[in-house]
Amino acid sequence: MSNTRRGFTLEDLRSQPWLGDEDLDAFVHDVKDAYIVQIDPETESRHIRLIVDEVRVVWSPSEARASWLRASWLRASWQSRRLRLAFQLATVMALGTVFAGGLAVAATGPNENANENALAAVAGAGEPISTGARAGFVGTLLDYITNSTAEGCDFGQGVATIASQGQGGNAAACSQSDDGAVTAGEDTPKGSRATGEAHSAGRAGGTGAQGGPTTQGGTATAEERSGGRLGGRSDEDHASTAGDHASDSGQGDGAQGSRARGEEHSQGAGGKPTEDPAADVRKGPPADL
Amino acid sequence: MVDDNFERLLDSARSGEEAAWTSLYRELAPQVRGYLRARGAMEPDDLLAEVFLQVVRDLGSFSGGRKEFCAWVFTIAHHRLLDDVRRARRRPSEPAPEEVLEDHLPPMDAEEEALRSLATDRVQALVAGLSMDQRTVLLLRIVGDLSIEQVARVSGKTPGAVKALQRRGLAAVKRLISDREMSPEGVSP
Repeated sequence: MSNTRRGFTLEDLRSQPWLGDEDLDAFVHDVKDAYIVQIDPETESRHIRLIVDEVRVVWSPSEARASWLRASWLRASWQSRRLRLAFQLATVMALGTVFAGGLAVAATGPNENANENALAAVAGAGEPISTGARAGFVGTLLDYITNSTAEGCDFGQGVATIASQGQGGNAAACSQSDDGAVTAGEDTPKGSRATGEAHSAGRAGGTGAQGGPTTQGGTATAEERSGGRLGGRSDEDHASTAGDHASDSGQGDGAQGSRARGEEHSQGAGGKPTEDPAADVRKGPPADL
Repeated sequence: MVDDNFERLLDSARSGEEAAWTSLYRELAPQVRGYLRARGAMEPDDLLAEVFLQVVRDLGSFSGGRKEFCAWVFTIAHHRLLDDVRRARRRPSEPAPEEVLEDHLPPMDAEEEALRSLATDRVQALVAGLSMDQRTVLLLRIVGDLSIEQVARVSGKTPGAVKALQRRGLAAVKRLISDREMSPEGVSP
């Protein structure tokens, strides 16, 4: 058996060290002949069918949507546990930030701003109050009353406190005795008629609040009464009879000559509401707003 | 095959074209199955199908040319073969009777079959005389037509180790051939 290895470059022999060696050459050829044989057509077609089916499953549209993950570097990153954890953590933090932002926006909703504006307007109303200011005052107060979400005494106390601060009154002077009697304020102008609104404000806000808004000789208008009723919500639990109030009004300096109507006090739980609503507009000119 | 053409072929395969997969299969399947057979796979055809199904699943993560692709496919085949060997050890199966096997074999010319059988027996005897690592390296080099570096990548060894195994394997083959020529019986099946 010869062993000639001439005719081949060093590179050839390095890549195929059996070249030129007849024994090894023969061995290599025999190995290739023995093992590398064409696949029979039946097996080939069966395998191709399997491959095509697998291709349909693997390369389906849903899989194609995730093709971004196939980018080798991104895939490697995603397969890294640490990076995956960091990504998940960042996602959770982002969601938390969005949630907190949503809560903050919800906490400063338009309703709350409206209430604050109304209270600020009430606080800013000076004394003596002009007719125009009064109209603004009532309007703002109505806005607050309509839009406020406060209930019960909180609502009335909120209005009274701001009103008394803005008009020099004293909220603490809102003397609501156990029986619910409301004392008319000294600021009530002579000859004025204690309107529903004024009395309601007075009940809630004390003596200082009720005198100002009341126009001399005025009679309660529908708006005033409405405001009075709404404004008097906070006093629903306090008994206030017409008689009590009439007495109070008569005793108060500012209530002289005024006529307290039953309706004006009808919001008091212990009061005796007048059956005829028209009774409170019998006397006195309409209140000008 | 020109590398540009191969790139286009891979792109077509990635887009799911059946013709591209058929071409890839026809180009590589005989060598892969030859390697599986030479390494003693129990069901080389089934294992071959599994190898190509894995290629389909992982082709999205592959990048490279023809040689890299060839080495990559052989890496999958090598790992599948190791899994198959482990599975066979856990669950040994009874070999099918000769009559059943003959019924399923394709018809072949008797003379051609005898010659092929003789050559195959001779080669199998030589390969069986090698260590497992030498067998792996030589079969990947000869049947898979892989370079030293590619064999190193497939088998998980260093190129230096692969070179040493190749050198010792070829020396063992020469020694076995010499021993066979010296012996009066020739090649023992």
